[in-house]
Amino acid sequence: MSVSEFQARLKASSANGFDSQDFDLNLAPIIDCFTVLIAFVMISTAFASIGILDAGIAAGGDKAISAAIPPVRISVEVLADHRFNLKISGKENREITIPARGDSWDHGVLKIRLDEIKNRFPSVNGAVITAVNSVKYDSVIRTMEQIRTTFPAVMLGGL
Amino acid sequence: MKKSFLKSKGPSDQMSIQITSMADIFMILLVFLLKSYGSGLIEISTSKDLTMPQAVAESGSVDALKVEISEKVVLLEGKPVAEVRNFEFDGKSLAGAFAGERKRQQALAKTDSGVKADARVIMIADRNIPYSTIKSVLASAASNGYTDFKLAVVQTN
Repeated sequence: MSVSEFQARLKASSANGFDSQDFDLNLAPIIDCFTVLIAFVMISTAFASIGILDAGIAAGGDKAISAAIPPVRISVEVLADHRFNLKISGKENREITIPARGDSWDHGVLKIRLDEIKNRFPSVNGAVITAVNSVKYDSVIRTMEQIRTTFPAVMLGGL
Repeated sequence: MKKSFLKSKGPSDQMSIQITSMADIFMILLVFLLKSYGSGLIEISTSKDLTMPQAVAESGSVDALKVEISEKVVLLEGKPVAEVRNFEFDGKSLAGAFAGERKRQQALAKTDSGVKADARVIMIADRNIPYSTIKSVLASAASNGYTDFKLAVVQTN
């Protein structure tokens, strides 16, 4: 298209009122696209997010890991009758039994006892959790979650 | 005090809906949904009859061997490897599956120097499974070199 032809077309369109800056943007197709997109994303989004709890094992494995030996080793045993058995061995050797609170395990008292141990031995960062065979996985996870607030490295024992 | 009242216009035949604000709302909704769509870094698809336990846990990108323990079956990377009856299963078939997977990983590591045999396992288990079943599965995994366990939970934080 030559320049003169283009100018002629421009003049013609001006005459028809096409160069007006007062126009309405047609948003209806955009709304349509948004509706479809929102519906698709809502269907495919998982609102329950998955988390990961790190749990090495207290025994087993190919190679021995060289690390500084902690002053005490802490082991929490989840018993079937809603009791905890807290074992401390090393520089201090003792066993604490935490009785049941009604029909459930007393996580509050367990936390207090673990905090007491942590205050006495601040360099200790790990604990081992074991459970009797009949204890449900959910109870083990709840106890593990509680121990992790005081000792971040919780390992599964009794394998 | 004078009050001026404007005469309200009569109903017009040509009515247009103001959809600019609607487009704004949709845009905000879409941004929010896309943000939450991308936040799930761990891709885990579980079977219908499996309810995972809930806990406060960190979310992160983990790609490892997935072991799923439901009340009926043990799955390894989505493939059924052992049938569970009264929370008991055939340990040999599970150990065989772990050994096979380990061999495959080691063979891959031999051919490609950039690949290392991974010791990580993500365990997805039903909340009602007794610890004895969990122990058996983990012991089987550990004896085949999978010693770094990651327990999958539904985040409550």
